[in-house]
Amino acid sequence: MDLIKTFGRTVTASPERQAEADVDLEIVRKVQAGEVAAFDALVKKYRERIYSVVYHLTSNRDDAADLAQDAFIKAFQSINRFKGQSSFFTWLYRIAVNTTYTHLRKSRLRSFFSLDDVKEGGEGVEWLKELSVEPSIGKAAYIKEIQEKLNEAFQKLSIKHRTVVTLFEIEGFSHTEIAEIVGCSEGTVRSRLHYAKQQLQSDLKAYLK
Amino acid sequence: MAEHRPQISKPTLENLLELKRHERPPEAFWNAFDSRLREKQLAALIPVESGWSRWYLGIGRFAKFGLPMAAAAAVVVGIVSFNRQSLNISPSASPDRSVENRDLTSASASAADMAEVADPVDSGIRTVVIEAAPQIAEGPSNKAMDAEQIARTLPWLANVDFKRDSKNESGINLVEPLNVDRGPTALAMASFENNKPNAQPVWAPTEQNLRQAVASEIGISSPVVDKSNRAWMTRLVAGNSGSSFSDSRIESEYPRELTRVGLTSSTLSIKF
Repeated sequence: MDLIKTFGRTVTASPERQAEADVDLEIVRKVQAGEVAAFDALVKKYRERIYSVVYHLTSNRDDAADLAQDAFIKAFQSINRFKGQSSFFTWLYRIAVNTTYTHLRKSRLRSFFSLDDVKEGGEGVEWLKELSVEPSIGKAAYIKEIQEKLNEAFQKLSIKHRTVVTLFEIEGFSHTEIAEIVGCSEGTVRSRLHYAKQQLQSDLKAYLK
Repeated sequence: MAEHRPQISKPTLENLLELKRHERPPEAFWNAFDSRLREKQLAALIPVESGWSRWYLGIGRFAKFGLPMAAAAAVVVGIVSFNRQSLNISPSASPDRSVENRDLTSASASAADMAEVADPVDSGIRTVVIEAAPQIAEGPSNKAMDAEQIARTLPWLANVDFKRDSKNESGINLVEPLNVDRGPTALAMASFENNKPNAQPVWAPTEQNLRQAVASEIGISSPVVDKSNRAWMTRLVAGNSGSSFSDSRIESEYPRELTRVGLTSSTLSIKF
C-alpha cells in the first residue's frame, strides 16, 4: 500500500517537490505527536506562497493576509486528519484555495483592490528594461497602471479560471499538482488555463503586443 | 491612455504575468502577519463551547441550584395558601384578644391587602382599595375578627373619636345604621353607645361577611351609592384622618364627597 502511495506521489511530483514533501511529512508527524511548536516551521516555509496564491485570487492584501492566516489555522486544527496520502503543501494549498473560495462567494459584491507593490519597481523584470514609455508618464506610473489593469482582468475571470492561472503561471505548479489541489482532472486544468489566457488576452489587448 | 502613449514595445501576456509574480508585500508586513497568526493560533487552542453544550451546562446548573430553590418556593406557597384558607373560619370564636387571634391578625393583614393607590384616570381622586385574598374554599368563615383586624380592613375607623361627636347630629345618624347586631363598626359602636372603652361588640364580623356588611351598609348594592350614603362614608373617612370630626372639617378638608363606591367579588374601592 505504501509503495502505491509512494509511486503515486512520484508520478505527480517532481523530485524536488518530493524531497520537500518528505521533509514536510516529518514535521507534520512531530506536530501530530504533540510538538505544536514544530508547526511554526511549516508556517515560515509556506506563508509567502500561501499568501501569494490568496493574494492573486483576491487582489486584496488585507483579505489575503487574513485568509492565509485562517488557512494555517485550519491546517493546524485538522493536522491530525492529515494521513500523508498527498503532500503537505498540496493539502495546505487546497485548504487555502477552499478558504478563499468561501470568502469570495460571500463577498463577491463588495470586492476592491488593495495591491502590493511590484518588488523593487520591477528591477528584476527583463522586459521592463527594454520598455520605453512616454517621458511625461514615467515607467513607475506605467507599471502601476498596467498592474491595475492586469488585476482588473484577473478579477473578471471566474474563481476557477483565476485559480488555475494563478497556480500555473504565477506559482509554477504543474497541471497534475493543480488538478490535485483544485480537485479536477488535468484535462480540465488545461482547458481552464487555455480559456483563462484567452480571456486575459482579450481584456488586455490594448496593452499587449 | 494606452492609445495615446507612444510605446516602442508592448509587453506580452506572459510579460504581464511575470510582472504579477513580482508583486510582494514589504518585509514589515510579515511581522504583523506572524503576530496576528500567533494570536489566532492561541485562540484556536482554547476550546470553544458550542451552543448546545452551553444549553446542557445551563440545565445542569439549574438542576443543581434552581430545582431546590423552586421546591422550597413551592413549599412556601403551599404553606401560605394553607394559612389563607384557615383564615376563613366561623364567627363563633371568642372576642377577647387571645394569642391565637393575634397570630391570625397578622395573617389576616396579609390576606386582606389594603392600599391607597392613585387613580390611573384622574390623579386628583384618591382610591381606597380593600382587597381580600382569593378564597380557596367556599363556605362560611368561623373565626371572628378583632378590633385591630377591623381597623386594618376599614382603616378610616382606626382613629374615629366617637365620643367627641356623641352629640353631633351626624354622629347620631351615624349610630343608627350601626346600632344593630351586625355591621363593620360593631366594636366601635359598642364603645360609643355604651360609653365603655372595653365594651364588646355584639357581633364579631369575619373578614368575608365584613366586606358584605360594608357593602350593604353603605348601600352599594348598585355600583353608584346615593347621596346620603356618600355623605355618611365621607364622614367615616374624615374620622380616620384626624382628631376632630365635624361637618366643617368635611367641608374644608374633604370638599369632595364620595363619587363612587365599587365592589367586586374581592375588591371594595371607594373614590372620593
